[in-house]
Amino acid sequence: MTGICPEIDDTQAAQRLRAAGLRPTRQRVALVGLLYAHGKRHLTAETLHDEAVAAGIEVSLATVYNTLHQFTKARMLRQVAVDAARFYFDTNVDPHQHFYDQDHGILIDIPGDAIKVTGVPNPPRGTVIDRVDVVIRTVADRMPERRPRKGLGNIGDSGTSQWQDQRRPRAQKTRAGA
Amino acid sequence: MARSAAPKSAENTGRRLRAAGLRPTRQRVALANLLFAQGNRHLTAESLHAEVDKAGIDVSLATVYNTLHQFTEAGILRHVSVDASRFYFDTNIDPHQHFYDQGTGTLIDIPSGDITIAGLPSPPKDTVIDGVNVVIRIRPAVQVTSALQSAGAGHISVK
Repeated sequence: MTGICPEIDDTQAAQRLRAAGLRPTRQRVALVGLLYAHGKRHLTAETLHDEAVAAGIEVSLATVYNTLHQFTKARMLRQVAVDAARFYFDTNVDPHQHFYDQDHGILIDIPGDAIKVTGVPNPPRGTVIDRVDVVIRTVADRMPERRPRKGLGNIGDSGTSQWQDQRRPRAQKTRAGA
Repeated sequence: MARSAAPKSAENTGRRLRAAGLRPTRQRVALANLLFAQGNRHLTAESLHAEVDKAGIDVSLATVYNTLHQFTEAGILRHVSVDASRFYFDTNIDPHQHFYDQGTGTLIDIPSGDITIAGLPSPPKDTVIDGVNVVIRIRPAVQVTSALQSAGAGHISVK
């Protein structure tokens, strides 16, 4: 794993683990090195396992899976729940949201302050809001010539008409990141 | 909770399955009866299997699991993705969003129309928006601090 920035060495990986309250075992250090070797990214346990195998790190898929969950609990990673069949982990734990390309299974970041969520009801008694996750699911545009590529008018017909009704006027007023 | 608590008759269930393009096998009808008998709700394959057991229906967890996925594909159930370790199904397929209580693993409906989203960027080239999922993750108020501000919600009660 050379030539990729920002790369982190074993010492940095161990420091990162300790800061998150995790004991820097050999396997964890190795996985942290892989995880953060490519900057911010989305990945599944399977992807990381493939990379571990390619890098000659001896670790089972189950261990990778468990370790990613430990990292998520320790808030080093964030889970992105988009698809029943695939679970993504995100090395970017700063506030941001996602487009999810359903045809290709790809996540694309939407910067933290681009989207404004309003009208959230009070959370149930005794609880507080930890985080608001927004996933905008996209599909291939099957008739591009008939639609202007202007995000908000394009919302599909799969039972999501309320979004169309409410957002179209509001979105005009906001500074939508292009 | 608009639906009545009375179980739908097997005949109705059969019709519903057929309308969704599924052959109304005995097992599917039995599972659909259990599923939709209690109004709108969230459940996992495991929780439905426990109900199946209690009702004396002889169906394996694997079959429950597969059947729930078939129902989801056929559009009579919806899948809610919130947690890698738990798979939730929702009998309410009308547009709505969810609170997810990370402490108890409970989903709570947020009625359609409550939440508004502004500032959506244009979708990536050659794609259109198919739907928007919003999950408001909540946790017990005890450990509350600065995460509140970043949560981005307007009115938050700390009590």
